[in-house]
Amino acid sequence: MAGVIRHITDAETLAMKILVVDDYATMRRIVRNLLSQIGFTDVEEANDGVTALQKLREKSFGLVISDWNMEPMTGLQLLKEIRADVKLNATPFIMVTAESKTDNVIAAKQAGVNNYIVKPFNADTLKQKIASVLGTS
Amino acid sequence: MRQTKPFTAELQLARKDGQPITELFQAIRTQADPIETTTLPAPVVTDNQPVLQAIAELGSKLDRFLATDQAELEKIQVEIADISGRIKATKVEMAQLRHPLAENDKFTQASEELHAVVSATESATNAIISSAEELDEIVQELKAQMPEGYQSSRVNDMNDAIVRIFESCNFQDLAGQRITKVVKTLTFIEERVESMLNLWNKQEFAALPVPQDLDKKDGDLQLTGPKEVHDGDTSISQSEIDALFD
Repeated sequence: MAGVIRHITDAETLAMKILVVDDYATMRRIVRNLLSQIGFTDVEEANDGVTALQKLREKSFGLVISDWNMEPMTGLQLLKEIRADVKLNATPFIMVTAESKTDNVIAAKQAGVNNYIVKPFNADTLKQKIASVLGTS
Repeated sequence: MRQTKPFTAELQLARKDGQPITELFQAIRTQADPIETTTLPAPVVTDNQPVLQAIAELGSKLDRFLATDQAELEKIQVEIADISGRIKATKVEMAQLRHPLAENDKFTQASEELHAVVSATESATNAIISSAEELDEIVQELKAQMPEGYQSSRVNDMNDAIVRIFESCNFQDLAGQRITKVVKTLTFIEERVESMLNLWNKQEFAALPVPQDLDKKDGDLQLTGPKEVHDGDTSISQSEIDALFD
């Protein structure tokens, strides 16, 4: 595990604002801490897709890390809303979820997800996917 | 009105003519009651044989039917008795699942226990995360002040251990999701049982045996394990226990 936080070093990348979307507060807290370990400190949270969309329209985020299974707006619906919005559609989106069925992953991919992480996950996986999405690996 | 006896004038005239009175009476009676001479229709000659034969065949069929039907009836009666027995047994089993007089509903109890598991593990997970966050803060502070070397390397190892703690806390989310699925399944079964009970007269179940408690027993003492989440729990706190020993 040594060296987990030392792969992303680009200061501009690490300074970006990340939105963590999950209906489970403990999970948001875990992701926030892992992001902190990677070097991302500007992290905001939303507990569902609707709140996330509001935040995305108010502020500029460099990355969205979202759960899938949420009410009233799921992660997939949030992704589709983002991709349908001309101002938001370029925002990188990583799905972090327990949903691992092939059809689900394909549906998310077709909807425009940039990467997909199945829970449980570790910091190294999170870091690799972020680096891959942001082109900093 | 018909004339049945001669008028006085007729009698006088008969006497005058020397006609016997009896003949006069007879003549008048004959006029009053003429003999019916209605002509009857000619008798119809019919062959009753086919009808009688059909009746005989029908009787024979009825005899056969009644003989067979009796055996069938007995068979059906046995089957109905069997079905009745099975229905009663099913009702007893259903009453074991949800009895109107049971103190604790098993479905509610199971769901509450599972919710308690989620709540307790969530609380514990958050406590672990808080401790890890505190450690992380200390580690970051140490790293900032420590020169490169063995000690710095060990601090980095501590940092990696903290990351693993965060990673391990993932379990809580998945465990919570799995338990939520189980609770949903329980709710589904509960609804089906409730529907089945409603198909019958629900009050009938009150007369059936009350289900046994699933808790372990030590003699007369019930061993319920962790404090139960429903209102009927009689557990007391550690301070109340301490008070008993003061």
